[in-house]
Amino acid sequence: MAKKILVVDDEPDILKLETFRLKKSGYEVATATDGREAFDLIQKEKPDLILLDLRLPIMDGYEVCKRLKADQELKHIPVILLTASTVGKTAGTAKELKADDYLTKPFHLQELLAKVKKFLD
Amino acid sequence: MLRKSEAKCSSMVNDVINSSEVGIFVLDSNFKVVWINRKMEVFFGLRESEVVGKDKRELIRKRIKQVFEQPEKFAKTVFSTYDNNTYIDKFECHVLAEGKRKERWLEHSSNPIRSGFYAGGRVELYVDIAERKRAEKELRETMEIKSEFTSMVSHQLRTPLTAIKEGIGIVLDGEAGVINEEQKDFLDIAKRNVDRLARVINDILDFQKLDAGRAVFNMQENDMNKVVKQIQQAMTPLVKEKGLNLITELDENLPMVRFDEDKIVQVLMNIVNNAIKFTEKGSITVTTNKEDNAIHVAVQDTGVGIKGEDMTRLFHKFEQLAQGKGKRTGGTGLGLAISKEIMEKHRGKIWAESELGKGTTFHFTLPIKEQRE
Repeated sequence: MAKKILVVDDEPDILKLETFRLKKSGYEVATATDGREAFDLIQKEKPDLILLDLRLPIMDGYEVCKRLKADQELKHIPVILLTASTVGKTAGTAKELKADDYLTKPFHLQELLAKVKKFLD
Repeated sequence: MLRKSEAKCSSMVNDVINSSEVGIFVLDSNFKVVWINRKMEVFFGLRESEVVGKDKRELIRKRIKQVFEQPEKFAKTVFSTYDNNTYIDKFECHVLAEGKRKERWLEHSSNPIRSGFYAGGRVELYVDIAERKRAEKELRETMEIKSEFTSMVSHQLRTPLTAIKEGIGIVLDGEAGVINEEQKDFLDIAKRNVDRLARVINDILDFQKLDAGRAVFNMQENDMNKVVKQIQQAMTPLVKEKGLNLITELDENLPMVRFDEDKIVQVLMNIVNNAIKFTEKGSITVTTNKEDNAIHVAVQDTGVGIKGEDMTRLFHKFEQLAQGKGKRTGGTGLGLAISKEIMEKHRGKIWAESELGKGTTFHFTLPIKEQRE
């Protein structure tokens, strides 16, 4: 059965591109454009991996990640943070939020796919 | 005659000192107050007549809680200098005079009285630093605004870049259908330039952060020779492509020194990159040497050299030297400015020597003893 990935980003263009790439690589993809929607979807569908942009409306990525990692039922789902910050700052943030990995924008799709593979294969 | 002019002189000195903006306490060798000037009366809400002849230490103990915002800190600092016969150099204290209504930031210093009637005593000075505190506050607020702005700009710039990169990438990889050679060529051009734009943005944001003092430096004991070998390995393909030699002459006895490895790699990469860029034939030699109190790294090339008039502009922001036929080199012009900032934050030095037509040597040094920030 295909692994399911939830991509969360408030930029529709980014969402469309990432979804295309991930689907082509054989994954099932669900999307959310704000933190609240993301959290609800995660609780309902329990995806196998979450790609989480930090800047989101309604509930930001920091909040979503914190809640996920504090939830007994959801904390096992790998979370990869996607941010526009510098590597140094992002690494610190990822550690703080207990995220499983991170990528800084702009990133190569190959990098993203490699990291996704790492967690799902 | 003499007494009259002495009296005149003494009265003039009195007037001068009483009109001073600096608060002055004069103590004898037993810490008894000899005299305070008018400003001191204002600063601490005192009267000269009340304090003259009294032991300063008693005065401090009695009034300290009403006058100072951090009484324990002040008492500890001042009493320690009294006990150890030492003096204070620029100690900032927050003073609340007039029953907390008027608050002031003062800078306190003390000096010994070495000769004359009160030899063994001390002069205590208090300067109002309201202006400086105001400026510091403004600076802090500006930095915060700048930081938020940079964060937002960073996001606004990097997000569209991601979309462009991914959009191009998908088509280039043939994932949206087969493309022909011509299409691939043009898309390659687009991709290269997106990468270039990303580098420019990174450089600018990098520089801004360094400039604003917000960059985090991860200082560890590191081996510079190892760094040089790393760079040599990374640059070998580029060097080979141009038909040049990359030689290293490393001091075997080079001590480990504290530096941020990533940042120094950045500096060395920048210098070596420039050397390769401006050298058409010959070699680039990287040397490391131990000096008295520093380690010295030099990168010498056999390139075109730098014009005398350009040498002064070398480490300026956004300055680029024309490469050969007036061709711009495709960099951001920030590399050396960033390198200079990095070296300065390491308390090191960076400079260049050049001879037109013969070559250029870039030098940088790092101190061996850890410098306190």
